[in-house]
Amino acid sequence: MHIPDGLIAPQVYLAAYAAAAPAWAYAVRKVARDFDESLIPRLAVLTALAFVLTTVMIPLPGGTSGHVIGVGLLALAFGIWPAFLAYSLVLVLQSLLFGAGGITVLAVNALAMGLAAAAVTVGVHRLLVGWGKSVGVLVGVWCGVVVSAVLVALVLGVQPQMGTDATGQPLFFPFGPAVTLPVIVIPHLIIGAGEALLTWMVLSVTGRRRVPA
Amino acid sequence: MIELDRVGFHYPEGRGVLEDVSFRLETEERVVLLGANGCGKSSLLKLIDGLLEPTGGEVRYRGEALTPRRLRQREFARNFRRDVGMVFQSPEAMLFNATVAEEIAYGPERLGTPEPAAVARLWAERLQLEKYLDTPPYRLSGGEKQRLALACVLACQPRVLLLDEPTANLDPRATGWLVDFLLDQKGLTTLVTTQNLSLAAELGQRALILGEDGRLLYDGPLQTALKDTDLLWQANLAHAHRHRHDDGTEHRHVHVHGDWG
Amino acid sequence: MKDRLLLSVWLVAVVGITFIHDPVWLGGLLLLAFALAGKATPGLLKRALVAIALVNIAVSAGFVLSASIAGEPWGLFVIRLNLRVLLLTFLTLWLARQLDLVRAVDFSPSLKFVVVLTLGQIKTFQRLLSDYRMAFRSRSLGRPDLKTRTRSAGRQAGALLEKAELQATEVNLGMRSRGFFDDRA
Repeated sequence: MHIPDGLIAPQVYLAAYAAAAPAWAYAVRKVARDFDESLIPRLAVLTALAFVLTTVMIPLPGGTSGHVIGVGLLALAFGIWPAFLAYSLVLVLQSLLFGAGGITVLAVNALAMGLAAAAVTVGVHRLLVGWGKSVGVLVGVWCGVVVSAVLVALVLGVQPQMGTDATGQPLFFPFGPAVTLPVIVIPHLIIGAGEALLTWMVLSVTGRRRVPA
Repeated sequence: MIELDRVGFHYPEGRGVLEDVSFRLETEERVVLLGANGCGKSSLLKLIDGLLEPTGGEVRYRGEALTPRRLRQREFARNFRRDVGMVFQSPEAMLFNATVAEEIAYGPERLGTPEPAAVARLWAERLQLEKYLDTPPYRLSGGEKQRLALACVLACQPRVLLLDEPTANLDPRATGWLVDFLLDQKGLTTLVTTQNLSLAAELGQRALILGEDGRLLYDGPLQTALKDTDLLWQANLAHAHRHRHDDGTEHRHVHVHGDWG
Repeated sequence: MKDRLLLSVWLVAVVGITFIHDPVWLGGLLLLAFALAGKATPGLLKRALVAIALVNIAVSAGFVLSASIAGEPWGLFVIRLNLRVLLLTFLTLWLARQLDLVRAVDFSPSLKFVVVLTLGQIKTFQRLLSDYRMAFRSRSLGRPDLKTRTRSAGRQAGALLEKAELQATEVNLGMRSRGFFDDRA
């Protein structure tokens, strides 16, 4: 689902970098404080885990499958900031090692799919956990996936505003939110359900959350 | 040199591992630590290496208790880490440098040994890793990683060597080399864990046997222990199986591994 | 040094390219990139095309359709978008081939250790995961149903999570045992 290079205008992705920079700085400080000397090994293992998790498939009805994003799982198991940091590193690795995804849109993807998904998942989980553990996990992860899909759709949707050439043709991604919202968000209502189910299964197998969020 | 005084250890979840373990390791002693799977051998080595903190009793190095506070003091920590080397059962846990050469040179460099790169080459050759000097450690096979972890620790010239199942991933030739190497070292104190009784006889004269309840069952001459079938059976180091004879009768024998008779 | 330079040049180039909107320039740069990659061009080009096909075809086709209905021009946009995305993806794939990531980040020792450990751990997890998959296949008779596959995927991810927790602790002890933390403030 993450956005590739070349569709997003510099005004937007540079602004996203400006917004992501303090978030990364805060995350590094917070994670360094919470994990002290185990920071390096822990971050490395988490990143590797996130990286490999994105290769686990969610089976969808009809024999097809979708990729797990895994941010919700990481956020519930290890906390918002470690999940955000690990996911950002995964995006860097995917782009630099395999040419997948993009470096200009790194900050956009990290904010929308890393930070927003993690924060929404943990927030909703906290609100609903009183209704039962499963409800908190299922609804939390689903909301995280859907919110990040909405954000990605909106970022793409504002691109037509970012300029046109002399003939009136757009310079970047051409469709407004009236197109991107339904096209991106509707499939993610189902993908989110798959991811939520999988996360719930994983957490019930492993029993308990290990690090307070 | 190293002394354990009524050491107990259990994980935070409450799962007990070690109970009331006491023994001393003298300088230049060759000791083999025997015990079945999951009896706490690895935990015991990590306690001695100051990596885990006992939940009861004390571990002392040269008469000084290894407390977290003491280990946070730089001077002490440096000396302790220089003197005591440990090779983990899963060696990849110890490998974090970019290439095999850097990995081996890491220790000597920290200790200020002159020409760490040359030291690294020397140890790579001794452990038949010279063709991998520029390879990232994570690309090596299990046995190569084990040899690399050994090279890293040996390159620091420790006085105490803690080896956790060192031959688990080694082929016979590397195993033979390791046994010879350990026997040749002067001034080295070694504590080696293994389940392999035939190897045990080559690695030391003294045996410590941990029971499945995490208590020390035996501390004494290795050869005596190896002849005590009841003891080995109790430690789950011997196995029993049925024999069928030509006349159709069957009976059970207790066996121990190894060909020492 | 070479790797850091490579990384910096690539970063500047990629950002710069997003400011270029003239298809002639984009096309020229693409040819330049092909020349730079030399013999590797056909392989890289194929991978780049496969990587961008889905999104680009969907976006291009959608735009052609909507612009035609509205009676507006679309040719320039389609050429511009496809050339730019192809150029960026091609450059990134070329970099991925050339770059030794560990060398590129060795200006920061902490970052370098994170990268080295991460690459190693990815290997470990991948091996575990492929073992899980093969074991699952070897134990399944015929194609397993959706419920079984879901359960297996959950178990796989759960095993990875547990393993991650153990690995993090073990690596931490391994590094401490080698004195890693004694040299750092």
